Amino acid sequence: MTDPTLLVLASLADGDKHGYAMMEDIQRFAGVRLGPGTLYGAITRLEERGWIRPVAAEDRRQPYTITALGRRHLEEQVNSLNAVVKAAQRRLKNA
Amino acid sequence: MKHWVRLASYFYPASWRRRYAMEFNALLEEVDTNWKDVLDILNGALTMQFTSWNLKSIALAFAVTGAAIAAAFAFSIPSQYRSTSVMQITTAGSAQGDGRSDFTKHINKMEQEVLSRTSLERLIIGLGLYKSQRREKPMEDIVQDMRNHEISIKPIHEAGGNRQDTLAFSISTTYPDPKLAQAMNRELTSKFIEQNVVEARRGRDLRMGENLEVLDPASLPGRPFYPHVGWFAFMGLFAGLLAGLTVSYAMRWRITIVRRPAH
Repeated sequence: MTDPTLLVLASLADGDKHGYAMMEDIQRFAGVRLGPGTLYGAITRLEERGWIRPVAAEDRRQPYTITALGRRHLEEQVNSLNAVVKAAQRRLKNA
Repeated sequence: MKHWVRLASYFYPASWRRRYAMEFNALLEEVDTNWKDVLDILNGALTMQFTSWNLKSIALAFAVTGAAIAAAFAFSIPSQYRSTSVMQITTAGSAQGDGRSDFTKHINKMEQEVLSRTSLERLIIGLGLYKSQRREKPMEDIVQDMRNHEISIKPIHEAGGNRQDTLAFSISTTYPDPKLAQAMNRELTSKFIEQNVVEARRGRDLRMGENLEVLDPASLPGRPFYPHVGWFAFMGLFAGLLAGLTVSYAMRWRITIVRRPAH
């Protein structure tokens, strides 16, 4: 899974984060380093779709939170990916 | 590296920068950036630009850029000037048989002599032409290039002018200096006249050789014949327009695919 929008949603699923915290988190759980341009491209798209929204900031760093709509989209994506993973595992076992 | 990263971030659209610049700059201060990040930011900025621009703006920007590059390229090419003269040959008596074919043969015969290596070499040295090329290339090659690209001799077929006893032909010479282009042309017309007399004295083509005159003397070109800056700019405009439309559609397709929700 390397779609930046899904990675950002997955990162925000366990709490609000600003850009740098998302980059660090994504690198930790997915092993992918998102460049600043890619990260903010994803943030822009997700905010336009209403899947994330900014929350009160303490400094220049802007934290974001996942919305209910974003959480539902992430769940659908994860379920879909799970189905693919399970099918692939089953087929690998039977091969 | 921070400097380049910050510079790249200025390529984002103004509307995007108004909304995200402060937090984006805060992120850039925290991240250890490298060249990949500069490219990543440029790619992100370009994508945002294409998202915010409409098709017309993108195509227009590419077209104007294409025209400007092509015009600049045209200005960087050394100008070529073309001088033209017109000569006319007339038979003394009534032409028999295929008069035009006889004229053509006669002109070809003179042309062979006028454009021979010895004749052109004398012309090159006499007028001091192709000085820099002469240091790099053998004279044989320079003469060949001159014959193939800088000199053109063509018969003129006027509308309705179907007389069998006259034939006009034009001589064109091309050179980076307008005065030398004219001088080359003058030399060639003189050589044609001389050669016509030589042929007559040899007893060949007496009928042909009695009247060879210069109708239009070698012109002094005022404007370069090549490169035509307007033509280059038009081609650049057209190529830019095509590139703009292609890039625009490709970027929009990419953005649509990336943005499309998975349900």
